[in-house]
Amino acid sequence: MLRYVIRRLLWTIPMLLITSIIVFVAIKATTNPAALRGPGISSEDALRYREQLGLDKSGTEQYVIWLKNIVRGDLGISLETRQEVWPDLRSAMWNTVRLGLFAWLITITLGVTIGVISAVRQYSWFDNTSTGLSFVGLSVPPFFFGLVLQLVLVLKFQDWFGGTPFYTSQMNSPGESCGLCADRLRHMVLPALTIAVQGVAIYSRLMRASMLDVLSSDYMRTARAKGISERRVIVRHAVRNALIPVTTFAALDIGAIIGGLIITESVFQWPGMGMYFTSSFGDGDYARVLPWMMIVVVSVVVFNLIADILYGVLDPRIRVE
Amino acid sequence: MAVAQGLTAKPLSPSLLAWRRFRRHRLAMVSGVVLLLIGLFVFVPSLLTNFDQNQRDTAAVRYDGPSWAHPFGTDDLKADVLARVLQGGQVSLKVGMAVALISVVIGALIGAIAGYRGGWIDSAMMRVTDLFLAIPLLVILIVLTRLPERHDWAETVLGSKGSIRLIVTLLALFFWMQTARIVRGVILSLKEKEFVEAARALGASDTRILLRHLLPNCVGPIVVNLTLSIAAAIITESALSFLGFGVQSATQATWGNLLSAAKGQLESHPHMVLAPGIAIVLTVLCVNYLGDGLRDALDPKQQRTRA
Repeated sequence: MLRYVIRRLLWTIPMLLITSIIVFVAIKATTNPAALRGPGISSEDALRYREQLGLDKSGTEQYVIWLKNIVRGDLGISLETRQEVWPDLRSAMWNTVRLGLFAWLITITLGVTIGVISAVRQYSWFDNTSTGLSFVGLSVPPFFFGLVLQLVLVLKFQDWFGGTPFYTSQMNSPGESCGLCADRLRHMVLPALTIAVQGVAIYSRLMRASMLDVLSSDYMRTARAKGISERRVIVRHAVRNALIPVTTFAALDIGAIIGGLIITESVFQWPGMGMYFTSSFGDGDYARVLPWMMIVVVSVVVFNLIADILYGVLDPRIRVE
Repeated sequence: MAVAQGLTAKPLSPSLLAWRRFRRHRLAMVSGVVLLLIGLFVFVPSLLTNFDQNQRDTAAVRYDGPSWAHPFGTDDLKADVLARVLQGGQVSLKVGMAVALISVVIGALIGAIAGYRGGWIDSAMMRVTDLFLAIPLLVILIVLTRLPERHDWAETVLGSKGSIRLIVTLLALFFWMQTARIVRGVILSLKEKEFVEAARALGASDTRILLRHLLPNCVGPIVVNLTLSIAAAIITESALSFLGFGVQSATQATWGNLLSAAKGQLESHPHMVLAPGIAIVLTVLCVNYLGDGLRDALDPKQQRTRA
């Protein structure tokens, strides 16, 4: 097991390096920092500024300098605002993680519960309905589902009942700022549902398939033959084993949160990583986009690793390979 | 097929068996019919509406809700929203099908070569797939849509900014991995089988073995993947358009950019958002059901874990 982990870790480092080169080249090739082409900037000023940013050096040199700084934890200064990148990026990250983890919890809880019931009552009306609905969940793109939620649960709801418990944008009402109070929850429910709907569809199918697999195995028969109650057989023997493959996906999904909520954040004006990316990339501010990209990549790669290791820990049969 | 005379029972061909399995999947059958209808109406809009997408109905009101004359209402220029949605569907469906076809061909070839040859080609391919998975799809697509603006070579190779060609090329570049993985898996499991050995013993070349003996066995998974790629491509194109990086509405209307243009009017004119949105959901839902039916029909051995 330890050797497996070390081998995986050793591949992670060159992979991160290669990705950092791809990211650097791609962002440099596609951004034209607004600060350098703004009107009213004399050519000497522009030249001096280019020098200051190190843009007169060769691409390789620029990359090496950037990489050195980022490894040391110096994320740089925004071209647009001339301020440190890290404080804004940190708060965007924190906002996204809060929303993402909340949605993730909803996704896993609902998905696993539906999957288990579907498998235990295979081909019942519950199973058929949830299978049918899971296709709908997979087919509704988040940008449309988010708008429909806003339309029905906020705008129409207000017309019908004279008020609504939900909000369509931002994280807090003006003047209120809190960690996890009622006001925050009322802002968070709709975007979280928007994120969760596809996940619930996927996890319920995954959990159902995994449960069916386990339910037909020999140790289930053994457990029943020993006279263990059906409830205990399902909960202690079946669900726990069926959760193993689901755990891998759940870990991968946490890693994907950081860079994965772009659309939902845009629909609900949630000031997180997605909005940070679209605005800074729109400005051509590569100094803000590059650290953003690296954080996203590292998060995906690290949770990939965690998922692989978890799988080996939870299921000793995998380790032999 | 010539059936020997005197036989009372016709032999069942594999395709007939597949058709029977497919017919049993009622939702897939219905979805197939609905998709045909959608295709028909989208490419021949005159069947459903008398208006052209750019024609202003001077008798109508701006932003009118649904009515008999305009089932989906009218827009800011008094044009018929149904006509615009059907017109937009042409591009969305074309993009979906083009991306799926191109990426499946690329994926099948790469997967076949990697699976058959093995060795460094195989491991290089798997590593590249790893890399592609580390950067979120939407992020890398957004970044690359800005390439033609800054570089002339990109404009020539990929297509100009906001063009249909650019979006199709970029999507196709990132949609082949799934097909490649599946085809690679099938080929890996088949290449040691006796029938391949027999073909080789008879003097068949590698190309012939690959094209005549191995790839035909992948047709099932390839067709299923092709179908599901259409759905994914339609959604991804719409997502890009929604964020302002897809096909530009000045070039051509698509479901994505119609929806994107209307999102600010959700409160005042919800029909402008609902019309293209429902078109996307209905199409993608039908394609997904169709894919599920095809999987049951063509690929009965495959375990159905992820929808």
